[in-house]
Amino acid sequence: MKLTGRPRRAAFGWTMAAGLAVMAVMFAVSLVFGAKDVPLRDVWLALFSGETNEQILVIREIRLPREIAAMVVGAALAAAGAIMQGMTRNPLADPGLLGITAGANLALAVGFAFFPALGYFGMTVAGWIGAALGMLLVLGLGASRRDGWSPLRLVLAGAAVTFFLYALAEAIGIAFKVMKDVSMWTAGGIMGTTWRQLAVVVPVVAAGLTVAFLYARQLTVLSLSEEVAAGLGQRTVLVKAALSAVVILLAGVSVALVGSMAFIGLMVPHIARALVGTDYRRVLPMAAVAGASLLLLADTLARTISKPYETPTAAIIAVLGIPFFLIIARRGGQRS
Amino acid sequence: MRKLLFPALLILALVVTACGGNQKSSGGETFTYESETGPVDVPKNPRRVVSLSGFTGNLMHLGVPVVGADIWSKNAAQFAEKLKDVEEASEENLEKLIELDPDLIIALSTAKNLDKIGEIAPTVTYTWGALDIFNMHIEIGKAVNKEKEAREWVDNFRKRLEEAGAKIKAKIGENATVTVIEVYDKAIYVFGDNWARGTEILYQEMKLGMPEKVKENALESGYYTLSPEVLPEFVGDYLIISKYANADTSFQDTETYKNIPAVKNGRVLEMTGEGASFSDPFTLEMQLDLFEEFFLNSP
Amino acid sequence: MIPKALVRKQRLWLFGLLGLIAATAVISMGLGYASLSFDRLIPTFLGQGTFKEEFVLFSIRLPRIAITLLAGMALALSGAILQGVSRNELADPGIIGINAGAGVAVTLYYLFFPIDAGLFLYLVPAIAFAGALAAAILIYLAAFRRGSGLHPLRLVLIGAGSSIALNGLMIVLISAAEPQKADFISKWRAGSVWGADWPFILALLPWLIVLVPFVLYRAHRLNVLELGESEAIGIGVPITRERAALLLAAVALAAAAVSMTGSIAFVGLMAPHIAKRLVGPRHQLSLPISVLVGGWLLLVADTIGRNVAEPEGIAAGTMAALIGAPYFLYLLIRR
Repeated sequence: MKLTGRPRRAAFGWTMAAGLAVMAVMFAVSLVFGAKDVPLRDVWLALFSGETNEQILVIREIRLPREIAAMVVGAALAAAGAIMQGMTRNPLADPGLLGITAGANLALAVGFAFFPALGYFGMTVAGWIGAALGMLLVLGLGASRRDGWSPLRLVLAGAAVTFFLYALAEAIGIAFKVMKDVSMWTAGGIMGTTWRQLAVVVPVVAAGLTVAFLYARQLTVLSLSEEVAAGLGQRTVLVKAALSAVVILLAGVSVALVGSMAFIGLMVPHIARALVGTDYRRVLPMAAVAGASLLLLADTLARTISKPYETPTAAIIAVLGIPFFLIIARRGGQRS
Repeated sequence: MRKLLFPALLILALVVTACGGNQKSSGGETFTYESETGPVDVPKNPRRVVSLSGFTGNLMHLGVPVVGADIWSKNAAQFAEKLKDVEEASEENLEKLIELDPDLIIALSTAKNLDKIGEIAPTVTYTWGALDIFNMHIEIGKAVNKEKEAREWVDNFRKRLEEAGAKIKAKIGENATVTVIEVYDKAIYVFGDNWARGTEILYQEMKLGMPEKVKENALESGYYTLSPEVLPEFVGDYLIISKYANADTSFQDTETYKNIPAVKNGRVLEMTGEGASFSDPFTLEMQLDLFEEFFLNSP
Repeated sequence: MIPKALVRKQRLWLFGLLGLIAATAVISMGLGYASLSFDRLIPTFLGQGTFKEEFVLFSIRLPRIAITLLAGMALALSGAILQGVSRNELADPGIIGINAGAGVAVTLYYLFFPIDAGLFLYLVPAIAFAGALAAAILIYLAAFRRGSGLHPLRLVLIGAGSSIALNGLMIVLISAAEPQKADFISKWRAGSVWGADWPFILALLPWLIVLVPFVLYRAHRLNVLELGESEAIGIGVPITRERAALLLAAVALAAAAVSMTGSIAFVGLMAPHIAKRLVGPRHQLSLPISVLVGGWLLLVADTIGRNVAEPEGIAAGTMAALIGAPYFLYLLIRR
């Protein structure tokens, strides 16, 4: 590890630039390839001019919102994961593992069963609330008085709460016959994202990321040790509360938009840390960029692997994620 | 005294049971119907039929009393009234099935628990799509001893279709094309000429035209999954959409969709998805009415 | 060595539980949508019932009761082993990812092979076992370190994470499936007892007949393993091999059960706990009790579940989760 500060900072600058470049390329790729490949020129026109023709319309109305959603959700989930891993000092933390999807699922079941007239926006908000509740349950139950969030307790609490909430959703779904509606939503995917949805999602994610970045320095300290943080005068409770809120916001809105998308929050922070070190002021932006790129890539693959069928994007990520998870788990003991 | 008590009780039990009901109610004579899976002894006059999937409409049209129907039929708009007081039956709930005391059960060949179901009552299974819609109806008619009625309806309906087809073609032109799609969950499907939702009567019977792209991709396989991006390429002069209540129809708000010629000209028919996948007389007649109205009255 | 009073207590509980199971089974036999009331049970047993009654009792309810009992027993034993070996009272085959592994295998198989009622059904248990084993091996490998062997904590940690991960994968796979298949997989995940017929029972029985005595014989080893690494080494128990053998048995038991009934968690958690509360921590005493408690618990869950809603009621697995998860969380907090 270098002892002088400057080379590191320069290296970070380059890495970030490279990351942004990759993301831009992925963005372009995702717009060009798909059920029907669109020439780059039309993509350019779609983005930067007011012209219209059939191809351009397709880009503007269907692909563009979808790929923006991919970027935004990828960034949100990756950042949420990074925050969770830092806060809980657990390399295996991931929003999906901690009751968020299960909570959203339950909220949707309740929504469909008792408030069928809610409509799209209402359901999204319901999903959001559910995600928050799920995560609060897990974080609450996974903490012990002595040592905060030990990795073991957290994951076990996550597993138990997930099971329970899914069972509850199941029971409600069967009793009120809304099972199909719920599962359709949760297995959703990025398809069919509209500009209207983005109008809600993008500002929320931007806000979340900003707040997260403001707390990045405290997060870094927290990620090393709770005592040190407290010793340095940090108001750990406040910081943890704020960061938890951000995680709920970021993860919740992502799940509400695209359904269950596990592993991004798990994998990407590791990649980010491998590239830029353990300072969360660097990890967070890197993770956001990497997460966006990853989801763009996965989505492009999903749309092109077996044209014109859409392989669920989440499946591709899961295929990448599970081996990743096992490798990290095997190696990860040292960092927790 | 004690020694006699137990045998006495046993005898009492036997007497009581002997007085109680006995074998399963067979309700009259049977005949042998040659089903897909071999000969089955079915009642000549079925009085309590349970339809486990797909053919409820056919049975009802033939005037057969249906005492248990599958959930999809019950949810279909065209049957909601008729099946209001009919119990929901499922191949999973065997207890309910036997409680309904059927004398004939009609199911799909892919149903679960077929062996147990077969023990409850004579069961006839059909494979979806093995026969075309008219022969299927006649087969079912044979199974419930109403072959004559079935054939009658088929002949009349086909005649009606021929006439309707001629009228429609006269109005819209010999070479006009129709596309049938369905929106289910988040996916869009386009159909060939034998996948219900009216495709048989539109393409096979009334001989209306099918766009080239649809022929290429959906004719052989039956259906084809579309992305909203390429939808415009598949839509002909007229568009028929089978829409499920909870489907994601956001693509209809896009300019891409609105610029499709058929949409611009107001030549779009939307029908409820639930129930559109059946091919029984009630459904087909309803669809024919819808189509006639649509083609003859649209701009 | 074991105090006579304790042994007597255990014997009492054994009989008590057997009686409880019998009573619950009888109650379960009389409950259901079809009308087969209690006073008709004996006549039907004696062959004097109507066709309908005999069908309901012998073809529907009895096999289901039998398979539920067997599965509950297998799951309880599996959980007891896992808790002993990992020295963690929160272990359960469902939480650790064994069920999920089986589930993914079943899902994949189901997606690619047509639903052929006959052949398919009998292959599924084997597929499930293969999946569970694969998952278990992967988790084991991930948790095993060359220097320190198998650290119990890491096992549970990785297992729990894998469980959620694999479940997530199953959800995704469901979304790609046709509605019919998707339906079956969802039901499997919920733990609805789908393999309720005599052939399945016969398929499950050998596993139990072989594995239960195998484990009971090693009950005392479990005592030692639970004490801790150094103690075990000190006493001379070959830990790694012993652990591996027991874990393999646990996986086999859970996979066999789950392949018949779908994914059921928490029974393997609660039963050993209750057993230990009743007769103390010695496995020679608690294992048989665990087995019986597990069978009874699942039977109760299934009986309640299937009578609560139409058309098929709430799955046994869901019921088990509804009861078991809060209990689990309570344990977690109390720690």
